[in-house]
Amino acid sequence: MMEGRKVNTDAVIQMKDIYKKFKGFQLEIPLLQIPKGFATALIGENGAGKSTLINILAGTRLDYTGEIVYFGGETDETVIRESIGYTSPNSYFMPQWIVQSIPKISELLFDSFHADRYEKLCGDLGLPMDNKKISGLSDGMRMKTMLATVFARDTALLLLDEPASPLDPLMRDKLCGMIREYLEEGNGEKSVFFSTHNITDMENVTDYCIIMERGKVVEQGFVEELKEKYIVVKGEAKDAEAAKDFLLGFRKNSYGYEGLCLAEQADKLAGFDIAAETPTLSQISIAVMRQYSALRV
Amino acid sequence: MKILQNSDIPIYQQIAMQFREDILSGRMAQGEYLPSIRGLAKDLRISVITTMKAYEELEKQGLVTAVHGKGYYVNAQDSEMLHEQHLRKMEEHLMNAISAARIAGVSDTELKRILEMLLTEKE
Repeated sequence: MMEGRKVNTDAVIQMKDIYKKFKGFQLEIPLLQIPKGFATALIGENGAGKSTLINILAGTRLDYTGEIVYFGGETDETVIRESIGYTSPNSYFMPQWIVQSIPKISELLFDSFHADRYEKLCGDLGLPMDNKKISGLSDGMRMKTMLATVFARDTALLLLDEPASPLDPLMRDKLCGMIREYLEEGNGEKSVFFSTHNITDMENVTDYCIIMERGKVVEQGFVEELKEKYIVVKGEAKDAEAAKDFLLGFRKNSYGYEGLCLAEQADKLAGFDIAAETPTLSQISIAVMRQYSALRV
Repeated sequence: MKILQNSDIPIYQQIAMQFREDILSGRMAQGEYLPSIRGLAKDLRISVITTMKAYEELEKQGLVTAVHGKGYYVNAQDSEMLHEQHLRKMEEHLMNAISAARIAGVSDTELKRILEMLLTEKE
């Protein structure tokens, strides 16, 4: 099997021995790097530890052990804070704040905030600039407001926790466009790290992918490399038991079976009557998640 | 540039093929730079890594050269190289014809006869 050329990259964030114990669950990351200059997706089941990890990186959770290196060794906390834009799946605005006050508050919080850019973004995203309270906004509108505040700043890294979930399909497409534009502006210096369940909607903006299950990273890589690493295999029901051992996320029904096979092991299935195809990121993610999941789905 | 999302041909190959045609036909001149990787990704609404892979493919084929920090420029296409490219394309089409013939159960002798007939017709 031909090996794709590995992309050499610097890390925008490097994590070492990150450990956080909860009741019945622990986050354990011996070593993880987020590549600089790319969009990286964090994928995993509910409760896999995605938000915990993003909270640790964003500095909103401090009760963990381990080492995080930002921007190749930046130590000035103010610089780090100014360089990172973070959105949470819930709102981090106070519910009683009014929409109009957000640019003023953001200007106080961050030097890198540009009120004029915020105003333009609000126009683009159809956000009202009135005296409505944050608590009166829909989930989608709240997410759009948070996105407008982070994209209105000069940052080098965006940490977006489930940005696509509350958004409509049109707005998800717009978000992908905004991420690409951000990466283009940065010309290799700006990076985006986002968690998502909407893999298909975000696939065309995803460069690198990290899959987590039960507190551990179970697969990662550049999407184009993962698509060469695995193939989707479908076969006849009579071969299912024999083929099972070579497949990740194996699933069968009365007509046949399917699963994800390491491309380098594909010859092990040569004796069976199979159909093979290049997987989508969604197919890779689901098969890997099913393989490591505690759920029997 | 036209990119089909649901094609059997991977997106990076679609991009590489279209640049390849532009280069071989002379629409892109020697020394001209390809669009920036992130700029093209933005315009085509695809990921950065897919664009990178397309450009690496073109580099592997000897059509472009990467300059660190500057991007990819189009190589000089000497006539021998062009000839080679056309030969490769011709072989590819002949291979397609052969597989079609096998499927249809056309014998090799029959296939040669058809080819000769087509050649005479062309003249």
